[in-house]
Amino acid sequence: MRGLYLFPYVAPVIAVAFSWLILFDPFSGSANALLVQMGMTDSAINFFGERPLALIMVTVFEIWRYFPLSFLFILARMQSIDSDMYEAADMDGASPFQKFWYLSLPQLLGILSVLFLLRFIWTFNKFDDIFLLTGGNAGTRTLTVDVYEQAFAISNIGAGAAVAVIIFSCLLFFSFFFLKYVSREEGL
Amino acid sequence: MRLFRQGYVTAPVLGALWFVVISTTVAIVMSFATGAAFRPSVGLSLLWGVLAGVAVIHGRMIARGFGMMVGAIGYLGYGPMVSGEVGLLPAILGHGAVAGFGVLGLMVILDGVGRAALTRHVFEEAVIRFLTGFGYIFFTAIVLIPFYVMVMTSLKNQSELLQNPLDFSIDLSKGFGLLRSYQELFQDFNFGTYLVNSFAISVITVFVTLLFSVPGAYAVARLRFRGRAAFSRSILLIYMVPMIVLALPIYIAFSMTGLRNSILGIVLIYPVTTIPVALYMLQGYFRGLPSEVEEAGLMDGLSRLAVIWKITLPLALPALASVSLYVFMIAWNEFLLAFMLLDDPSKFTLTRGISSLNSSEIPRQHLMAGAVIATVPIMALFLGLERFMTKGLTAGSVKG
Repeated sequence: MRGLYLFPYVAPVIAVAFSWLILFDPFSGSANALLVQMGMTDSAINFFGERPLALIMVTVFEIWRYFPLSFLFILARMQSIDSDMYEAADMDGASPFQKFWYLSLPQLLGILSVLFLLRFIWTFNKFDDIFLLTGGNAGTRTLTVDVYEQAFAISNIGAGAAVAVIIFSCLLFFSFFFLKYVSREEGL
Repeated sequence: MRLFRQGYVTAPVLGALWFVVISTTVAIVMSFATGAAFRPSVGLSLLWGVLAGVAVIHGRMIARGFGMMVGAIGYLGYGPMVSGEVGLLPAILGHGAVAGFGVLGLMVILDGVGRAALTRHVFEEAVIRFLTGFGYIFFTAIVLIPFYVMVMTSLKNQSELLQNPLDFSIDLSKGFGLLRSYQELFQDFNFGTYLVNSFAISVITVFVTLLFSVPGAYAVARLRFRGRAAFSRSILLIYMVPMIVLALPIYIAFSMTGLRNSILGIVLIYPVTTIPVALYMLQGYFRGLPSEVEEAGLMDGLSRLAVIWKITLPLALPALASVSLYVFMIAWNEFLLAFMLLDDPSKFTLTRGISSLNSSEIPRQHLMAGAVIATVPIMALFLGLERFMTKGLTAGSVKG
């Protein structure tokens, strides 16, 4: 059953992005119908079309799509923690929360920081998801969407390439940190 | 904290929270299943949850009796979940589910919780059981709902969808008429061709990727040469470069050489995105293999290539399987390059085909049917070979 929780990550981005668009459609989306029925809102909400909300929804989508990956990495690390330590803690009478806080969490710090850096870099560079969900409208135009908009929508290839160069220099900057930390953590 | 660790405080607090969770969940499930008006009442849920918590710590019999009472009261309209004009069967089912899951779940959560002061262990275990239950419900719901909406929308028609967006019940009497969107996609929109294109492109990409990344990964993992460390790091760096940065030069170069709008061009460019991933995953695995076996092979007079072919590759089969699967998944799901480079409908991949359905003239059950067609093969492959996949994903694959 664990495979089920990886579905958002494995499914094609275009399929899940369009499902989200239809689920949160302002006119006939199920999410709006549900919210109205539960009395949370009176009128339909335009989830992907209003200014602060669109950015929040795109972020929620990214979280939804990539939580399985972090889930898997953390799980793999958890399973590799030595069980002797927990037995010793049981003998000393540690409570479940104490075991989590003083034993599991310190062991997970390494993978958590790697995941943080990696997901930060990858999400910073994400294009497909945002392009499909909002097309960069309603305050969600990121650098990557801007490359596309400049180069193809208004056919200014030069400006598009300039934005791409900016993305690349940001990436170089981030990967400096990444290589510095990950080399230590993963022994690369 | 000590105040919380009294049976009379812990049980009602957890009970109230649990009832809110259950009544919300059941209301959403029933709404999505029947389209009827179910909604949770937070105030009443809190009230009944508090009482249920007290009932559960007074013994199993009292708790069961209380559960039946909640079900009956729910049917009368004052339970944790309120239903509007719904049929008899959905109402009984819904209120029964709220009462049943609410009370039985609470009995499991509060296992060992008595009326007096609790030890720290009993208290924390009860909280952890509550959080586990909540986590299961929450994550299952957020994962399943979009896929459920995707599949169910593809089986309906436009007027049904506009009439009640919540009604996902299926009219089974229509038989094969349910699959009309799929039939139209395959007949009128060439989805059969797209499916074949996607499949062929993905398989070729897997082979090309393995052809280059196996020797490359072996070299980085085993051979000593000048600049090995720099090479190893640059793989990681290339691996992090987003496709959109490369998309412009690729577009210009392909336009000039005439590779744009051809399957050959796509097959040439997909391995560019997958080889760094495969190299990175494979070199990690090759490093973990014992080098003594290979050295023994070299001593016995095998050449380096024969060692790779006869010793390293058989040992690395599980890794090769997971890398292939992962590369297949990337190629199958790739959207940006297909979107930019392909214009001719006879050469579309599935993802490109779906994006061409996204217009106001094409009804959205077609769009969702297309999404289902693209999702089902990769899901089936993934569930069938899950063991390799999860291993491959944690073996250093972080792309996406």
